[in-house]
Amino acid sequence: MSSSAESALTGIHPRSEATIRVSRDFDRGRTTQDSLREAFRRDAYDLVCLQKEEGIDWVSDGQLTWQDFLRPICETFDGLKIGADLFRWFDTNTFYRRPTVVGKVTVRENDGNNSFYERHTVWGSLGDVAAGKRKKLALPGPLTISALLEDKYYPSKKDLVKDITQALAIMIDFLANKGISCIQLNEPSLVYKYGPSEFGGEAYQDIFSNSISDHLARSRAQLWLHTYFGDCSKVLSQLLKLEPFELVGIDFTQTPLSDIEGCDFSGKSLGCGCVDGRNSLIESPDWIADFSKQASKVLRPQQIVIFPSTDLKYLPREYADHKLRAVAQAAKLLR
Amino acid sequence: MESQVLEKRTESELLPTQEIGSIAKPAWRVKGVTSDASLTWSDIKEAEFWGSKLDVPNYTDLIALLKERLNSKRPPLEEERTAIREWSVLYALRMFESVGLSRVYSGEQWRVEMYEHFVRNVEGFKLLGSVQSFDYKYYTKASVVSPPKFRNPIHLEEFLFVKKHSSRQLKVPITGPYTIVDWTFNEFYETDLRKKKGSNAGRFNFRETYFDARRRFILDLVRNVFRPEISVLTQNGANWIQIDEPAVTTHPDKLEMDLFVEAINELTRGFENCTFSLHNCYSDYRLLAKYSPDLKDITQLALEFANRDSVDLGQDSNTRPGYQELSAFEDEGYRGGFGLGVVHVHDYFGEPRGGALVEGNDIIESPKLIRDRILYASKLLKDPSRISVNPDCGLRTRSWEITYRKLQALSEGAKLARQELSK
Repeated sequence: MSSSAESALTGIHPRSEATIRVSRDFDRGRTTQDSLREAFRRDAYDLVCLQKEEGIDWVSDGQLTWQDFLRPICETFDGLKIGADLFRWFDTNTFYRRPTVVGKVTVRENDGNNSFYERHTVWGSLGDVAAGKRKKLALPGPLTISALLEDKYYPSKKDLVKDITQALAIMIDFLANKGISCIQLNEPSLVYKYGPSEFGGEAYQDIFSNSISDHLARSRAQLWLHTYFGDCSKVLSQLLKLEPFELVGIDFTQTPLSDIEGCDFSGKSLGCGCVDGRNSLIESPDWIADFSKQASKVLRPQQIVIFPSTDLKYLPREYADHKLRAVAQAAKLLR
Repeated sequence: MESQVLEKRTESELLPTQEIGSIAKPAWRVKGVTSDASLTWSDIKEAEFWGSKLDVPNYTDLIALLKERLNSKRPPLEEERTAIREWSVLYALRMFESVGLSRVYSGEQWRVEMYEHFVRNVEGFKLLGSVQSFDYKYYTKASVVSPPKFRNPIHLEEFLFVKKHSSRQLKVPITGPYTIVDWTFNEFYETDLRKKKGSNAGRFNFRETYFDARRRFILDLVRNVFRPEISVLTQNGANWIQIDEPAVTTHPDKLEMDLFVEAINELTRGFENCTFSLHNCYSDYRLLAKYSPDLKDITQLALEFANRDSVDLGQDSNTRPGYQELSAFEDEGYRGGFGLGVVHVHDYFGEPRGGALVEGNDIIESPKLIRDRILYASKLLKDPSRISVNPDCGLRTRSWEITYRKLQALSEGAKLARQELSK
């Protein structure tokens, strides 16, 4: 990484109102799969163009087709089956279909990774719009996947976490070969205080750490780790020791900066999640830059990447795009 | 829990049946009131089919109106929009009545959507745009930009229309204050509080103003909008109000749950001649159970259980896992009634089993499966008189055909359960 502040998005971006209209029509049988695919492609194209215009450093395709953050993984890994039941996604007003583990988790045979790339990213259909830009994709981390599914196969969660991490590692290498420069693993379950208590415990943090170190150490993509929906102050020191990650992200809407003073960021970059992904009030670039400077002063990271605290999918598109612009402008102010 | 009494029933029948809220708006209802979507013959045929099937009085007048709209190039007049909306309510009412439901309402055909209908009709909200709920389902999200004020009655016109056209027990669903607050961006109160605390307050600590701002918002909303609204409804004869609170337990925090209880108790306080029930779904029922005895005037909890259950026939704990959380409410001391969700309302991706048919993404529960669910719940509660029978939630994501079949099965299942219980 270079020494100046950079900017990125965190995860799933909201669909545009136009895409929402088409998807509603598709859902009601009023339009075709092709129309829907084209709506998503056009939407992603516009989003990539917006990021380029604004100067976002790590460009995302917005992951607009993702129905929820776990579904594409379930459709790619053997051993996971998409459930019928709807479950709340943490403390948001969005829902996911809970997967069930029905067998050993591995990347699906017969070209599972290619299928993931074709179905759940749109880079292949965007031509060279992002030529020269670094591409980034967010994936759910192994602990979060394990915490949110129903396990009917593994005798211990430890084995489940390990197998998921291994499958993710294979997928990440494949994506790196396809030109995705950065994979961000989002691990809200590491910090969510209302999650299953077993996942907040030290034993699971160890399982997570060991799995990451065992399987992701030689990853071909740059790896980032982000935590949100909870206060990361209790686990941050441990996360900063994880070698495979060049960057550790913090949701500052949940973690007071004063509570993590003294954490050792040497050799790591800070993902500065100070732009509230769940609040329609748009932070000014000056405020974001001020906060980021303060965070940089307190934590002394190698580099700072400014991004929203969480996915922006909880906001209407227009507001998410305003936040995107604010993030990009704040990073410019710090250069 | 002495303050919680059983429902103030007007029905003598055991296991009364009820709907929860919204059903899908027919294409003719959606297209008939907008100027940018053209009605088709197929839409009119649908209106004809259901008008005849449900024996809607004078439905041919609707067909004539729709045919006129089909041939017209001008946008619908306001009186045409109103008429189409009213017809849609009549159709929904007739569907509920024809399958034999004890408690009925409009199927929310009058409203845009449960959240949007409310915020559009209250001063202080600004609609910002659409946000995904799940899959290809979205809702329009607003921000509160000034203190909410009661402008005009929100549900009165709808209530008076339904009252005029049905002799059944009416249960008026309203979206509750906790849900409105949780689904709304809190721009006004957060900004206001930060200003009051000084320009730097909350600057680098986002959590500092969050909860206080939220509490001020909800209490203003209850006092300035909900209580005047309930007053108007009850003065005009509403005697059962269902408070829809899907957002409860979203934030499983004592502060938040206490805030929910405080808001509901403040909302229902002093309306002696009205029964209040509370609907919640897809939530943490162990948490809700813990706070349920504190809801002073709520006499029925209408909850989603079918979604959590198996579709095998049987009346034991192995076949009925979805209903076991009823025990949590008992253990916590809740002694009110339950609106027992016995049919699933969303897409179904599971395997077809003995107690249900699966057609595409729809599951049609059999009357026997519904009977078993009711009887198992009766056994757990040791008192079937505390049970009313309903779908998990509104059936608005299902087609009218599927909704009709599910409600028929529900009604038939309740009948089978009554027969068993009377033996």
